[in-house]
Amino acid sequence: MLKRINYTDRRRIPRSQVSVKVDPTDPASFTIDLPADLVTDPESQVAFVDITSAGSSEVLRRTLAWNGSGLDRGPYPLGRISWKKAIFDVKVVETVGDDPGRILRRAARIKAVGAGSDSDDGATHQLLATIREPLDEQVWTLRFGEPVTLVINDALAMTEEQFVATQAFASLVFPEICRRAVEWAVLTEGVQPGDLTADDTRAAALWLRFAQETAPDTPCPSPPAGGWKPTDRADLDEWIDSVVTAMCRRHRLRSSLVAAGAEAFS
Amino acid sequence: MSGTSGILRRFKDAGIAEFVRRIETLRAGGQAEIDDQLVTDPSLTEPTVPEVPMERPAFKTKRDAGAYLSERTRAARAVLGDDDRGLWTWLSAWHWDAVCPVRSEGIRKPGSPFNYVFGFGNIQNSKKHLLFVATSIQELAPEAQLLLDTPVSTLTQIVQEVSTRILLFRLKGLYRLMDLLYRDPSTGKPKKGIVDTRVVKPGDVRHRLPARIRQLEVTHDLTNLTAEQLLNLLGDEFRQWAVVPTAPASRRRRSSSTAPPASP
Repeated sequence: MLKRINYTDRRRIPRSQVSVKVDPTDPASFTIDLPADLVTDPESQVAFVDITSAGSSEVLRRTLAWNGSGLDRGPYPLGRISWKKAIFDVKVVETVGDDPGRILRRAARIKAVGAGSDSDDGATHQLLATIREPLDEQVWTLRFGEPVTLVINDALAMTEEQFVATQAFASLVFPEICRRAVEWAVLTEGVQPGDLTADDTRAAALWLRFAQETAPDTPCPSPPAGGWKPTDRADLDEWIDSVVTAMCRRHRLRSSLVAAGAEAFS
Repeated sequence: MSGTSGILRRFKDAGIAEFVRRIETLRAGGQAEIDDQLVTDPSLTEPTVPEVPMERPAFKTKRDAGAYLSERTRAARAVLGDDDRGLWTWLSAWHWDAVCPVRSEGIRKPGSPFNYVFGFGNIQNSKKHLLFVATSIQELAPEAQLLLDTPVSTLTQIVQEVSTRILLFRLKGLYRLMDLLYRDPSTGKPKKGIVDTRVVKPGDVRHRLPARIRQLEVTHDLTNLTAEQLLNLLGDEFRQWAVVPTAPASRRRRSSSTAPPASP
């Protein structure tokens, strides 16, 4: 068994000690409350917040000002990052000395609390997460949970970003992910359109909502008495087919793959 | 295209669709014009606010294009955002002669539509848009040579390796590091073997640089580090690619100006 050694003395900032609140009033901004002793030497350490947004590769960095006794809580502008989807990473970093750039303290993937309330309204919710793991000779697999996760073989000589950015992925892999995730949501999790509420952010609810938005003209069939059975699910299979077909059509997957030519596979 | 000046515009959705149709026609060997009518048609395009005059300079490199477009699109991007599909796609059509030049045999050979149509097929493909990539790198690292001193009409493998990887793209010191390690100073071109898709070389750009950066990001914040600080963290595997200080003239004939990488 491998023992992990934290040789850099990096420490996690407990979630309970970080609070991010967004003010959606245009221009949107956020305030952040952090432990007073987070920065122990303002001469040699700096605190950053990196803000990202689900579905975008933009990273907004704000340096937290030192006000003499602690870190300034803001407000800091959110720029063009959608306040509804913002994810906050806090880092305290060494700036001078033998090891500049060393992370001393970190809190990752903090979700904002919307507009000063304690509700989860401002949080982001992910349809599909991506991670890398050893998968023997399998290139990818799906893991169902919160959220649904695409596991990519870590032996691939490309990043997750590159893998999912290829036209081959979009055209050949994603329709199958869509099919299996919608099937999981309805069959395994038993989510039904009538059960959905606006604040339901379970992965199964997100996938069912995605399916409904993708194929709005084809309603999800109601389960027969006693629920869906392997021998009695023709209606369900037909509906899932129509969702996948609509998704492929909406994103012009065949046309895009044809247009990309051999480069789609490079 | 005949006109040399106009105003900055953006494509409406119908304009993007029409531009895609014409690119696909050209790629299939058919006849289609990317002309003044397409880029000024009010049913397909709309002017940006505030109004910005546009010319068609003869861009030779990404540096030329990036510098010009950075300045000319600044006001429009402040309103529309940096990732406006209509704006970047229209710019490709406006600068069509630069991004898809007529070749010596008298024909144009368009590349993939995502080179011209922002985010075509997948939003991640925006990192393969010729003019967007040129402008982004120019704004982030105007000193970059290896990535900016290349023709604006192609997206070389090494540019793609950086532009499509957010973990590399945002590192301020990376661009000078690329020049320090991977640019052959005698030719101004990339050293051989750094983006080989099949062979993994120690310290190469294609395989080892992103893997090592990903490893370091667990313990270090690399965003603001200088090229030298990055190189110290990357270690000897990468240092071997660095340019060796020029040897005296008598010795230069016998020795290479770069340290050859070790065999994998």
